[in-house]
Amino acid sequence: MKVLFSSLMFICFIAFGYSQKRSAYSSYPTESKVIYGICFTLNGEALAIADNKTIKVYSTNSKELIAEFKGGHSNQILSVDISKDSTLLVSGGKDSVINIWDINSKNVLQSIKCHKGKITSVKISTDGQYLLYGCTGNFAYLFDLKLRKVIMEFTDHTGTVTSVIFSSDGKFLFTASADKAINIYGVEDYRLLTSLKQHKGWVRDIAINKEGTRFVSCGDDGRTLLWNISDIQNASVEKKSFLPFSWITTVDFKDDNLTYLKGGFNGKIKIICPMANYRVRIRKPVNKVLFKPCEGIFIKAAIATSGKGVILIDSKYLSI
Amino acid sequence: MKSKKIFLPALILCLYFHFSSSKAQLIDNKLNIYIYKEEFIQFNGDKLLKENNFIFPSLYSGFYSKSGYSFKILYKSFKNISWGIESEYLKASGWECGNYLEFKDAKIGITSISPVFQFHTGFSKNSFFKRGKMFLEVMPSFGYSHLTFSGQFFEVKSIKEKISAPFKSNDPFYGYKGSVGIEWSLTQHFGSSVSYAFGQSFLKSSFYCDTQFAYSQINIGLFLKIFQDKYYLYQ
Repeated sequence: MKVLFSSLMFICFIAFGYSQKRSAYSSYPTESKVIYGICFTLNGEALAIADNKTIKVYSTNSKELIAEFKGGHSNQILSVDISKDSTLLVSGGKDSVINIWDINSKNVLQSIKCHKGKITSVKISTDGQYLLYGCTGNFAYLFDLKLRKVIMEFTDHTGTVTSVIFSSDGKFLFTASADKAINIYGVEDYRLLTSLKQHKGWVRDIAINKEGTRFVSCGDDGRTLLWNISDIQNASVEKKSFLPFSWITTVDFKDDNLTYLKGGFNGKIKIICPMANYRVRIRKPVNKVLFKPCEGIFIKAAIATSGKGVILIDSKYLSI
Repeated sequence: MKSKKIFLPALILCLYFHFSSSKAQLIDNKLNIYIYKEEFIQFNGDKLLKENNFIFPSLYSGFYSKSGYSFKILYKSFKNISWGIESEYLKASGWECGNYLEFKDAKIGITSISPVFQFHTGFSKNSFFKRGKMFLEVMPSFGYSHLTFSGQFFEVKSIKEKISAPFKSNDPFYGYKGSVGIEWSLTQHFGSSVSYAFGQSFLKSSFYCDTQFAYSQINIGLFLKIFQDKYYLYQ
């Protein structure tokens, strides 16, 4: 009897703690519970979610569906991005197709077929002139959105290109890969400036701060590396953190240039602030995490998961 | 009292696995290592064998105390097919067959090695098959059966000295095995597995009349995921 009672108490205790933590989260209604690609608009008022083959854009305030982009993909979308002026939306996925959508008309402006592999990451440059995308076939491509053609093919990686980004000033572009390397190229001459090989496993994601002085990378080796790129040729690791036996799949920088976060397949998210760190447990693999822009000193983040769709978390409910 | 002592740690362990963050860490695997404890081993077949109008007791069917272990490595080549190798050690003692005393105090140790071909359900990111896997295995098996008589079975008198127990015999065999079972991942790196296995082996020995032995057993084991399929995100 005593054993049964203590067991019941134990269950109640855990269930109560679990229900308390749930109040920090709110989710978006998606058809698929496995979401890979999410993207905020520049002002953070809308969130684009790659819901299987469709892209849904929700208002972050009312959580209402604002727009839906259908019919462009025949397989799951893995990555989405919105241009800074909110006129273009780009998506790429398992069907090896990149679609450039006009946000106003919701039509596909151009569809690009990648013959080298599935599209893992897409990114539009800050000035809206270029589109950078990476694929499982070890290549990354630079596409000119005005000329509407691929202007450069980057072939230095020997593994799947997992993530691509532009620097804030648009002068450099970064590619992360399964070959454990992060390559930095100059946009003007497309020259490989440096190849950073500090990771010991797949590099899964990279994110750069607004100032362009630091970027953060993460990977399957459980490492999260904060890089100082004040001198891009001599990039150095400023801070290292290591979580054994876990794949860190996503990182992002907040617009204050100091705060960043990381999320992994262990369902844990850590927000690293100058004053304190926040921890969130989602209990489902985390595929992508993005800070909501324009929140000032407050922290809100959207989390794309495998199993719980997209969740929005608010730091005021989180434990430090 | 003993059952209560086991119940509480078992409950805590179950709750730990259920509520721990490891719940999220399930990734398609490429290479697994298994360790099984074999239980409910049963040698099937007649207890008495007929040969040239003589009746002899069967060695294998008479054992009532049996236990075994097996070790297996599996590599996943395709979504539904894995292959690997299995090594098994099974021991049996406590022979009994009516009033026959031929193999009383006999012990056998069966060591076998088998190339394994496993057909299984595919990994899925968000369903039962995210954690679970059902499988069917078929394999040829090769090995030897090591028989020991601790008591005196024969008495051989030579010119100079008397040779007596223990007698030992190593008899090679070949055969086939099959199993059906289920795997359940508890964490990204660790899981448990249960299977029902059956097999038949053929051999020849000068110490007993059995020319084959058939058996069935339940395998209860644990597995470690060594390599994981990093490409599964893009599949």
